[in-house]
Amino acid sequence: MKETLTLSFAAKKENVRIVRAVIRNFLILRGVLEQDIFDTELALDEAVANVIEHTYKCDPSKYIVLTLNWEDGILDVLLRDFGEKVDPASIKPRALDEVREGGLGVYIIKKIFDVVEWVEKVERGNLLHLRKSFNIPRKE
Amino acid sequence: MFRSYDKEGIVVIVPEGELDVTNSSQFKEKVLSEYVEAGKPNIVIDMSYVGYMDSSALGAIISIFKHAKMNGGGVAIAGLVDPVRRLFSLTALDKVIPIYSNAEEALEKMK
Repeated sequence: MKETLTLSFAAKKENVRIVRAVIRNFLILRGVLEQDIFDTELALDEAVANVIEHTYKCDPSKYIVLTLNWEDGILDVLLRDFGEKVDPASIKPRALDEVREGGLGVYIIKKIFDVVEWVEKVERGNLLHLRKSFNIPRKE
Repeated sequence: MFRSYDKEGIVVIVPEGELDVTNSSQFKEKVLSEYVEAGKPNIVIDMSYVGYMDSSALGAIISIFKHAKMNGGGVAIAGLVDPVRRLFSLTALDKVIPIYSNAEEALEKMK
């Protein structure tokens, strides 16, 4: 059965915690395993934090729209912002042997989600599409 | 945000709750200014009470680790709970910063 949830929120850092609570409960209700919930919560945290810090430069007057779509064990996330266009080619994870503070967020997002792509058809802002498939244990 | 205690010249930092984009930067600045850059560069970060952290917290720990080394000290991590431990292995940080099962073990190794 297809399920959809949409959340619109201001680009404030504390709202990352609300997003985490939403994705966690969204996945708990669908019987996803704890390890997968942690991973997805983490990767979505990183994606939303990137928009707040880099695209919106922590401007709390800006808005983000998050849509979660679920069907047959597949989660599709759409993360919409209305900031400056991101150049996907410039967003690269850093090498893990470079020990420095930043750059791990993109690495984590790409490691955890099966699909990470910026949808090109939006005129203004950015639309990030993330997809992850889950193995849902059968109920006895 | 965290409590701390001194054990024979080594400072044990005990953060609690969640370390993420809302508080990691504050955590880093406080540890650097109060200890690492105030003559106490040997640090154990006891993570037993941290149930969640993200890459901003990893960045804070990397920064504390680098500053500690620059100041002639070192950093060890102790007491990682399972999901948080996974973040260290996922990003290979467990190969850079020494990790021990608890603060006592970390203190023993750092002496």
